[in-house]
Order: sequence, then C-alpha cells, then structure tokens
Amino acid sequence: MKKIGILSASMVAILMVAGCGQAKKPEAAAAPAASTAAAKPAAPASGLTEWQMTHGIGPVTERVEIGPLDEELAKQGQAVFEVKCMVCHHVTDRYVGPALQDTIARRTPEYMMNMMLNPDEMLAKHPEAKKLLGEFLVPMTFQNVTKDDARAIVEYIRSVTGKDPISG
Amino acid sequence: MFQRNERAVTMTKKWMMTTLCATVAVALVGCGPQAGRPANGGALAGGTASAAQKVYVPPGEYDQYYAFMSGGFSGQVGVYGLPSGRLLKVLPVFSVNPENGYGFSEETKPMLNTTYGFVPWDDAHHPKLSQTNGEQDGRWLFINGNNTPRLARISLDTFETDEIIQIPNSGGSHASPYPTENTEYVVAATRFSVPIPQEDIPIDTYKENFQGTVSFIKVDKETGEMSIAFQILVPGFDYDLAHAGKAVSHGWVFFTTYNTEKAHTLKEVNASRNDKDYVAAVNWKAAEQAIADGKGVEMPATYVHNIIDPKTRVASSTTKKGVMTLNARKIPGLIYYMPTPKSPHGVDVDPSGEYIVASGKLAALIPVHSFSKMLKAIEDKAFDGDAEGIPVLKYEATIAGEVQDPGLGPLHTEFDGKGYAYSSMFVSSEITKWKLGTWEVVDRIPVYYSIGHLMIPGGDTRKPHGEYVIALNKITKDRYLPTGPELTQSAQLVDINGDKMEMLLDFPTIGEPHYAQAAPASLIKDRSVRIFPIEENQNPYVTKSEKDARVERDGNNIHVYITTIRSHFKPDNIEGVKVGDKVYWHVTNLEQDWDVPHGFGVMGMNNSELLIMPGDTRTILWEPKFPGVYPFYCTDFCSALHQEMQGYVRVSPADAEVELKSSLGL
Repeated sequence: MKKIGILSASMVAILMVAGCGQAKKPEAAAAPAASTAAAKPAAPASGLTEWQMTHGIGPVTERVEIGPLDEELAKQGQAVFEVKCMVCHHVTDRYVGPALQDTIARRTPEYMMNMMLNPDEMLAKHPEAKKLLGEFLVPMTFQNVTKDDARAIVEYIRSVTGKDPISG
Repeated sequence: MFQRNERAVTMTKKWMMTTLCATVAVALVGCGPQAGRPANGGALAGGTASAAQKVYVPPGEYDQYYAFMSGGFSGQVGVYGLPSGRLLKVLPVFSVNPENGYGFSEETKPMLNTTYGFVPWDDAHHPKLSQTNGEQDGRWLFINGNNTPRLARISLDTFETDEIIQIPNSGGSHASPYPTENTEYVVAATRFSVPIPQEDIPIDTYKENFQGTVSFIKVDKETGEMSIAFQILVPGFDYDLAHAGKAVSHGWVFFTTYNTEKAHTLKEVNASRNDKDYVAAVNWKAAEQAIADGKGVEMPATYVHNIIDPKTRVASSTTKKGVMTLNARKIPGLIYYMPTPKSPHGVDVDPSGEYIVASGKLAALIPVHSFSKMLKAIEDKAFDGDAEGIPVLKYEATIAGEVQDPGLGPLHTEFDGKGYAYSSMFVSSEITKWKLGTWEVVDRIPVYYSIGHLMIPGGDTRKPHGEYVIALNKITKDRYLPTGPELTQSAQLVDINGDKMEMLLDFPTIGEPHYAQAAPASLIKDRSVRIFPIEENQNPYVTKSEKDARVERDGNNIHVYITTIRSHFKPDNIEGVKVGDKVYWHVTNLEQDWDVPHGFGVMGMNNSELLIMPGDTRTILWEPKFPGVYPFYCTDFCSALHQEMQGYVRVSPADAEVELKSSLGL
C-alpha cells in the first residue's frame, strides 16, 4: 500500500513533467546539438545507455526484425495510423510533426516504436526527441497504441515511404 | 492505509514542522487583527500547527477521501478532497454548464428534459453513494432535484451524470435519494403534498384533497438504470428526510414527517402546533409482497426518463406513462407512525440498524427509537390511535432513549462506528457528540455558523470510516474575506479521532451544500476513466480519422464533421454556409492522452462552448444570423501552438450561390 502510494505519486510527478513539455523548450534548445542524420549521436551526457541513444527508451528493449515488406501488416498499420497518427504526420511534408520519410531515414524501428509507446519519457530524457520538441514545439502524445500497433505502423511507414529504417 | 499516513513516512517530521510553522506564521500574519478581522477571529478554534499538519497535503500528493457535496441551488455537485478541502471538480447535474457544454450539446440536452419541457436548473439536495451490504461500493452517486422532482445518477468512473428520472405525483422531492442496503431502491418522498393526480382545485381544500407520495425507484444491479417501481399514497403531510434501515432493520425505510396539522398557509406557525409529528416506518418488503399479491393500482402519470447510452455516450429522453401505486391507508402493515417531537427533520439509522435517531428541529431533546422495540410494539399492537387509518405506535413503546440538552435545533446525526453519534445543532451552531446506549452528551464544538447537515465519511453506513466530521454551515458571514453581499457557503472539517473534537479547517463550498458523502480515495480513484478509446467511439457523428473530416448539407442542416488534435482543426476553412442554416458542429477529439481536452467556440454562438474529452465526440448547434466570416477556435489551452488552433467559417446570404466546401491547407 505504501509502495503503491509512493509510486503513484512519482507517476504523477512524471506526468506533470511530461505535461509541461512545452515549458522545457529553452532547455531542449540549449541541449548539445546532435546530428539529425543517421550518424550515431555523441557519447551521451544524458545518462542514457548506448542502446537507448540509438533505439530509444521504452518497452522495446530488443531488436525488432525487419524482413521483406509485409503488406498485410502494413495494412493493419495503416488502419491505426489513419485514426491516431495522420492528424500530425504526413508522408512527404512537415506537418504538426516531422514527415515520415525523414523519420524513417534517421531512426531505427525500435526508436520509432519507443517514441510511439513512450513519448512522455522520450521527450523528457532523450536528447534527439528533446531536440525535435524544441523545433516543432508540440509534444508527441501517447495515442493509446499497443506494441503490436506500433510494429504495424512501422511496416506501414516502410510501405508508404518505400524506405527502410536504419539498422543502428 | 491512506496517503496521509504515507506522508509521515516519506517526509521527515522536522522538515514538515518547519514548513508548517512557516505556513502558519504567514497565515497568522495574514489573518491577524490588523487585517481587520472581526471579533469572531478570537473564537477561531484550531488554527494551530497540529491542525495545519492534519490537513496539509503536499504538492503532488493525493487527498485521503473524495467528498461529494451537493451544490444546492446551483443544481450541481462539488467534489472536494479531504482533509485538504481542495475543490477537485464541479459536476454538472441538474443545471446547464457552459464550461463544458452540459445541457447545451446535442448529446446532453435531453438530460434536462421534463414533462414541463427543458428545465435547466434545480435545487440539488442530498448526494448518496451506492451501497452493497450497507457499505459504500464506490459505483454511483445519486442526488435529488428538489424543485422539479427528479433523481440523478452520476457514474464514478467518468464523474458524469448518466441518468435523470422525473418523479411524478410529487411536489418538492426532498426526502431522497437514500438508498437501501444493497441499493435495491433509492427513495423519493414529496415534501409538498399536492393534489394527486394534479387538478385545478382551491388551495384551501388541502385537508380533503392533498396527498403525499413515497416513491421507490429500482436500481438495476449491473447498469444502475433507474425505474419507478411503485409509489405509496400517504396522508397529506410534509415528508422531510429519510434513511433506509440496515442490518437488522434492512427491509424498512424511515421518513420524517412534519405538518401533520395539514396546514396550507403560514406553515411556520400552523405546521408547528402539534407536540409530536411522526417518523413513518415503511416496510418495503411488505410493499413488494402487496404488489405481488395484486394489491397495487396502476395510476395514470406522465414522467420523463433521460439516460446516456453507454455505447454512444448520447442522451435520449423517453416519456413514460403510468405508475404502480399502493394506498397506505388500505394496506395494513405497510406503514407505522412513530410519534416524534417536534417537526422532526433528519432521521438517521446507526451502523447496527437498531437505533433510529430523529431530530425534532423544534425539540429540546433528541429522541432515539429502537427498531426491535418498534417490532415488538407492532406485534403487541401498542397503538395510540391512528392517522387516516395508519397505526400510530405509542411513543413509550418505541423509544430507546432521549439525548437531553443536546443544544438548540437538532437537525441531523451521523455515526463514527465507535459507539458515538454526532448531531448538528442549527440554532446553537454546534456539533454535539453523544454516546449510543447511554444517550449522554460527551463533547461539543462550536461551528460557524448555523450548521445544517453534517457528514462523517461512511457515517451513514454499516461501516463508518470515522476520522472526520464535516459541518455544512448555512451562514458564512465573516469567515472569509468579504465578497460583497453574496458569499460562498462555509464548510468546516473537524477531527474526531480523539475524545475531544478538534477544529481543523474552514473551506468555502459552491451553491448551498445540503448533504455530503465522502469515500476513501482508494474506492474510486483507480477506476477513474482517463480517455475514451477512439476505436470504441460510437457517436453517430464521429469522425475517426482526419481523412474523414468533411462538411455535408442536408436541406438547411449543415453537418460539420470536424476533428481536433494539438494544434489544429480539420477542416479549418469552411465556406458555403448560409443565413438560415442550422450548423451542427460534430467535434471529435482525436487525442488519446490523459488531460488533453480541446474546447470549441464560434463567434456569436447563442449557447455555450464545447469541451471535448480525448476520444469523445460532442455536437453543438450554431445558427448564424448575419453574413460574414466568423472565427472559431480552441478554448482550452492545449499546447504551445494553442493560439494558432483556430479557423474561419464564411456565412453568405440565404440566396447566395456559394459552394459548400471545406479545407485544411499547408
């Protein structure tokens, strides 16, 4: 009971930090510039592991296999994407958030999935995500997607951009 | 077990005391006599560091209890945290709420429909939490509308009003809702007797023609849906308050009556002549049996039932006809009257179910009836005559004891589960603590001013949580900084853990809180809905994807299927609307994150804004009167680009030939 209480209090604290994402803009802008391209970011001062720097922070902690394009999976991804993601992300153009063709060209599939599944923590801790928040100002939001949804969305992004994510 | 205890673990006492002393020091400076505080400042009980420590909830931590306080004539319910007294939310129930569009949106307008048409206000009196086995179960909150007799059910998953049922054959539904032990029923008795059925007759034929009703409203165990099971026709007294029996007295509901004189004018004098009025003991299991035996009579009646469909989240309003009635005068065993001095107000049943405390608001003592003695008196036929054919039991035969000199103007009583009762004294402005069984007064504490109801968390159930009693005061006067002639109401939190009551906190409350309920946060907080999954949205006008956003014309009706996400609408440019059109804005919030509602307002709209929760769809009707270009925008600061979240709708003359179109461009 006590533990739960403390836990929930810390969760609240985290949520509050996340909710104030925009307010963190100066900090994010002041963060050391990291390359936007596929190049590996410099050794982190952020306290993140090398793996996290490349693949993001969140529930995806192991490599995701990217095989030949799975049309069926891409279709499933499209259905979710059109309801929950299209409001902010378009394929070739910058919209509320970055264009998908730019995202896939510089992220691993794990990074993309962690960003979908754990945006609050990513925006609070990951220098790459923080940098983009400084640029776009609107924090990416958790859209109540499952891990399977996130994987399917990666497949949809592959199909619609004709590109594969970087391998890291 | 609760947050408050955890704090003691997580914070060092020293640090806490330092902070608190600082707080208190500041508070004292702010409230010192030099601040112009009137003489009553000296009467301030509590206000000590130890009191401050007991109500202090550090930033980011939770209160121990949810408290639900009726908003009285605001028609709403205020939700507060205890012990901090922080206002958490105002729940719209019987009154429209432009803050979120309740009663204005197409989805919620039917909720306020009645046989009198749309009634956008009521006088909300007694919140009551649903119970299972006589304990709080945290599922629903019921509350009565006194003015246009209605009964509402609020979901404690969404904190939204899900259902409102009108009570026919009633005038001033005051003795309500008061659930039975397993929420089999909630009740509603009429405070004002009226002609039943209503008819155009002289008021001075009250004695011959006016009647009261006691209604039993069935509550579906699974869904909570309410239906009027039966009404008992009773003599034309005023029926004031109620409480259901529990444990040993389960199966009965007790109602107070006054105006047994049946006066119809200058009631403050004419309804106060009798030394004793009655507590009506209603045997609802006998009523069920009477109906099963075919003794019920179907009476003509018309009433309206409004309910939110849980799938579409859209309200519908149905007019219902007819009600099953039982005539108490003709069915023996249904009701017994227990004489009770004098114009009794509250009637409260102790946790064991044995003691029935009826506070005669004009009496100098508090009589306590015994349920077992009542049963014996009925068996022995210890009657003192009858009232219109309903047996009146002998006072001595049912009385368990009298609390002598409790104070002036006793109104209500709650229980701490440790053998003590706490009664509110309206006239002498105090809470009196007394012992069940010995009836001796053991403590009193002054409250400011003129207390009405009082409430102990769970203090009306078989298992009171104790800890605090809240005074719901009727008069505020000088308790807070003055705000002109109209003041908020004043609640006070009193610690009842020790032998002596300790005043902890004053806090203002909305409307006029009558009764209140409080339940442990753990019973409710983890069930609280955060978002509505967009996949499950079944509103007939939902737009589930930006690609489906569109504008359609159907004669003079225009349907705008519009979506929101931080920080834009789609569409945000609309043309082809004409003067004379009815524009239905169906706004779907595509966000799926907690606490990201978007608001919606159009210049010159004649109703209210919408506040749309994540994954929800709400609809507002706009009827533009003049040609021009009208901005619309998000009213709820949603993101860094919130100020950019806006759009335009062009309105052309009625005979214009502007094509209907919508867009959102890069």
